[in-house]
Amino acid sequence: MPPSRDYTVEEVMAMNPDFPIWLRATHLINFVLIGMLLRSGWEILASLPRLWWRNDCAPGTEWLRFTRRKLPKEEGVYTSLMDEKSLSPLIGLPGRENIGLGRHWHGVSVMLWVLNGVVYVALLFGTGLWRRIIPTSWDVFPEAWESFKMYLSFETPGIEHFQPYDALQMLGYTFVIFILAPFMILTGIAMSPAIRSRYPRYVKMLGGHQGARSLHFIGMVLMAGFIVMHVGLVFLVHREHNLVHMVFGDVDTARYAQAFVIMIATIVAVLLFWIALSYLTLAQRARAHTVLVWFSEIGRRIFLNWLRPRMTTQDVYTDDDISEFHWTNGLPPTQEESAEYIAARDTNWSSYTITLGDDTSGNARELTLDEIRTLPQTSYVAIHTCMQGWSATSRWTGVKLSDLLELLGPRPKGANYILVESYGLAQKMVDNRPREPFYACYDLETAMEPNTILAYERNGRPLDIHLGAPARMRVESHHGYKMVKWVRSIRWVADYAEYGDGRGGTREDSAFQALNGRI
Amino acid sequence: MTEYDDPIVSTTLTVRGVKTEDQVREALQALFDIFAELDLGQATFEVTDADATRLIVKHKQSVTPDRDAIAQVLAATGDFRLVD
Repeated sequence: MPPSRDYTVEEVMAMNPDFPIWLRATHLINFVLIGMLLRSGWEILASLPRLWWRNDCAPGTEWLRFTRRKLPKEEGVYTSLMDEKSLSPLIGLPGRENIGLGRHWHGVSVMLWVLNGVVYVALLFGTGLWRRIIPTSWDVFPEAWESFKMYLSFETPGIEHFQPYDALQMLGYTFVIFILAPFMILTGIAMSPAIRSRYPRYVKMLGGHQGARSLHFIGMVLMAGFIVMHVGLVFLVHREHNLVHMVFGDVDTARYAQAFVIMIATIVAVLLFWIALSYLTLAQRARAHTVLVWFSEIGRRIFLNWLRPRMTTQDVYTDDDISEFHWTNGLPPTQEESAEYIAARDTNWSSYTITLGDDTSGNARELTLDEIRTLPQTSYVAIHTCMQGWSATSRWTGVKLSDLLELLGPRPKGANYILVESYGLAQKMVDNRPREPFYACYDLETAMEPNTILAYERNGRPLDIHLGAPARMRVESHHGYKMVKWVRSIRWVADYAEYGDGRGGTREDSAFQALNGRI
Repeated sequence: MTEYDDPIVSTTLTVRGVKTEDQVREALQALFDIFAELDLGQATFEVTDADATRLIVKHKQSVTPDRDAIAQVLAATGDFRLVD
């Protein structure tokens, strides 16, 4: 399209640039979904309102924080849940310290957002309408600069500059659609343990887990800033044209008043919908968990479940990357929680045993730490990520879970999951009832992965107590909530639904996380 | 001192007024604001049918939880009272 100066106002008005129904529909859907993404993203951020560029998350080294809460500098004396802030349901989705449900909403929203985006871009190119968004001449830069200066001086470019978009809009939309949106997707998936353990080079290229997290945050700020500016300009600059375009897909400004009312009503309805989602989720947390996990599992199945970790063979993360600091979630078992554990600790673990069992038949055997150490050893450098957002890199050494399970013979008929239980109790139960032992369940694919191990060493030394001594689970394709510390038993079970609250683990039960912790 | 010399232990307190999910969340948010200063590391409310609720606080053995500070912050947050 020739530069705008070649057109008169009358010519522009006569063009009827056409805003087809698919364009208006995808735009409205995008508005709804981007709000859900932002609000669920804030819920996740509130769970750990600090950002780092480092390969660990030592308190006091963050580049940005949204909390005044102080944390000890010493490792192993506090729990990361201490840092979680509570958001109002008016702001977060769903709000009130529900990171599990927030994560599911984020997953569901992003799946729909990407789908909507793909449809939009396909139709944009299929109909040729891309030409009015993507600049095809370098003239766009000086023209955009002129528009920018005009806005800075609180003036409005004439309508003849909009065909239907002016140069500044073209640059802005091209940046958001083709650079910022993909950037958000790429930095978002980089925080998935399944992606990281399969493609560690990709994650390291983004600055590791914390780099990806910080970049994702910066992208969110840019996106939110764009939305505020975009909506503001729609109402401030030639709104009689913009609103008619957006509502009716036409240029007849005679319908402006009608379009204005419909637009305001739509915005109010979307705002109420966003807030209603929060309160409905909070009112029915267990049901919301079931529905949201079912939906988001579609995405995990398509994109993540088939990725197998390869931390043993990768050479991207080495001992040079080991973190100085490692957070923990949940402090070690105390005398009140397990006298047996404390007694084992006080004998330097000589009396420590793990029960290897099969709940379907009742078969079981006890294993001492020495017996476990005689099994083939595996060792690798890996990044631990908590679903809250913190991370740390360590060398983990132990025995593959598959090797351990072989001690019991072939998989028992009817056994479909592995349940690992801790000597420690849960930090919180969903209904604040008296605490029960911490546990996590794995499906067969996860249990048999080469980087699903029972670890007894970290960085070449026996495990620290606060990180799970003398033995803990490592499941590199999953977030940390699946990695039981202070392991008491490892058992074949028929169905995880028969244990705890039936969701597959303590954090699944109490914080509504998903059984599948690959993202 | 190592973790073996100064291990994590727990102290159980009794609180009245903390019964619902919202009250537990409000009380914990307030407690976590001061926990670092008090050298405390984890808190759990256990709500039962009993009138009072158990508050289990985890900390290093060398630390004695400051009950006055805990009582003060609980009282300032809601109608919460440390009774034991």
